[in-house]
Amino acid sequence: MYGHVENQVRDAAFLGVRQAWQSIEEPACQCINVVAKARLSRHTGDAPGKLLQAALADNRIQAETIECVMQAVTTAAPLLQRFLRTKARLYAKDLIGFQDLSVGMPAPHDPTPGPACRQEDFPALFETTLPGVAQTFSELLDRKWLKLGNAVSGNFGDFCAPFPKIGQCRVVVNFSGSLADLNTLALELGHAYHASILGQRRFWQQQVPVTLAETASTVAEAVFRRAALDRAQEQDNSAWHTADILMLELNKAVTYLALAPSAFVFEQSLYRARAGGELPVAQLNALSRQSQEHFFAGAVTSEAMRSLPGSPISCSTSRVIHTTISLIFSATCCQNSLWKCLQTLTLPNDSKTS
Amino acid sequence: MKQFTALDWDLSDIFSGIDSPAYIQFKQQIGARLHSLGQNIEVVRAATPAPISEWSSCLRQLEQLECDIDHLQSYIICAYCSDPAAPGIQREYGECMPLDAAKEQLTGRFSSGLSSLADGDFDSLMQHQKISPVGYHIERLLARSEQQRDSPAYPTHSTHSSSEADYHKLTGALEFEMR
Repeated sequence: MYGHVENQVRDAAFLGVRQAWQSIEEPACQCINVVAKARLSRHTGDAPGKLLQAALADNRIQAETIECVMQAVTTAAPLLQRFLRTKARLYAKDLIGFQDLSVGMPAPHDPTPGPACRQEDFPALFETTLPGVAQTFSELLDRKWLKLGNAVSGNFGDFCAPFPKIGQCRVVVNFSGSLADLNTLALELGHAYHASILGQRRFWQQQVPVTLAETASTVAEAVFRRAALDRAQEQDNSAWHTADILMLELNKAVTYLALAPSAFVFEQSLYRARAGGELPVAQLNALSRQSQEHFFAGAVTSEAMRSLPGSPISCSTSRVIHTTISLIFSATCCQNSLWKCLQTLTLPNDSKTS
Repeated sequence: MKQFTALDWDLSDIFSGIDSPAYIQFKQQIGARLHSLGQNIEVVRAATPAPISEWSSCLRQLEQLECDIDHLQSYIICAYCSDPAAPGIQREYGECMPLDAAKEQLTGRFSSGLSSLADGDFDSLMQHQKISPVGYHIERLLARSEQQRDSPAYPTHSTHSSSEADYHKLTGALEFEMR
C-alpha cells in the first residue's frame, strides 16, 4: 500500500503499521533484547565488533570496503535528501513520510496509466541481455512455480524459496502490476535463475556468500529497468513513463543509500548499547530514530520515522554488503546508474514537475 | 492501470500438505537423523587415529540433513503464503525452529571436531573425494567456528524445561515474523 498514488491511502497504511507495532512494542523489545544478547554471547567477550567481523569474513568483504561504502552513502545523503524534498512537493506535502519512499511518479491524469511494460513482456525484455532469466521465467510459468497476486505472501514479503533437495524453487511476489512490482518480479527472477544454476550442484556448494547471492538479482532488476526505459520511449505519455522509471531508480537509491545504511547504523548501535545491559522500548526507539535521522535529516517528517525497527536485526550487514554490490554494479556496468538518475531527476528547488 | 494476470503455484509435488503422511514422516526422520548423527560424530571425534572415511561419511550426512531441513522450511514458508490461515501452519513453523537449532548445535560440534584434527588428518580429509568439492564450505564453517564460542546447548527433544520451551517459542515466533 506504500506504493499507492493516493496520499491518504499511504498515510493510513503507515498509521496502521505504526499502531500495530506499538501494540506489541513490549514483547518485540524483549525479543530484540534476547536475540541481541544471544548473538553477543556467541562471540567472545560480548564484543559488538566481533559480530561485524564475522559477517565480513563470511562474505569475503574487507572492513575497509564497508567503511568506504558508508563514507560514500554519507556523502550522498544531502543529495538524496534534496530528492526527497522534491518528491514531497510532487505529492503536495511539506516533507516526505516513510510511507512515501517507494511511491512512483504522480499520475499525469486520471486514471493512472499502466506501466510501460507488463509481466507478459518479460521474455522479450530479457531474451537478448539475460536469456537465462527469460528461460527461467518461462519455466516458472510452465511448471506453476510462480505465485503473483495481492498480498499473497502475508508477512513474508517477496521471495524465491529454493528446494535444493529436488532442484526446484518457488517464487512469490505481491503483485498489482505496477512498475515497482515488475521490478520486484525481475529481482526474484534473478534469484530463481541463480537457484536453477546452483541446483545442479551439491547442497554445500549452493551455500554462497550474500555478495554472490545478491548479484544475479541486482543485475536482473537493473536490466529490467534499462529495458523498461527503452519501452517507455515507445509509449503514449512517454515523458511520464520515463520519469516513472527514473523515479523507481531513485527509490531504489533511497533503499540502498539510506534505508539499508540506517539499518546498519541501528544494528551497530544496538549491539553496543545491549552489551551494557537490557534496553527498554524508549531507548530502542531512540536508537532507531537516531540512525534514520543520520540519513534522512530534514527530508522526512520526524513523525514518520519508524520507532521500533521495521527491518529485522541481523539483515543490515547483509544489506550494506548488498549496497556495496549495487554501487559497484551501478558504477561499472549499468548505463542507467543511480548517480546518473540522481542528477537527472533531482529537480530545481521550485519545480513542481518535470 | 492495466490488468495483470494473477498466478497461483503448485506445491503438491513437494508435499500434499502439512498433515500428509509423507510430510510427517519426513520431519520425524530429520529429528531421528539429527539425534543419530549427534551420537555418531562423538564416536568419530573420540577415535584415534582419526578415521578419515568416517569423518567424510558424517560430513556428507550433515550436508544432506541441512539440505532436508532447508527443504522442510522452504515448504512451510510456501504453505503459509498459500494459506496463512491454514490450521496449524504457524505452529508447524515454530516446531521447525528446534530442528534448526539442533542443526546449528550439531554443526558447532563438527566444527570443533574438525578444528582439533591434526594438520595431516585434516588435509587428508579435505582431499577425500567426497569432501574436496565442498572444501570452501568447510573453510567457511571453520572460520565461523573460530569467531564463536561453542554454540549454546539448545535442547532438541522433549526434555527441555518450560522456560527453554518459552525461549524457543519466543525466538521461533520472532524469526517467523521477521521472515
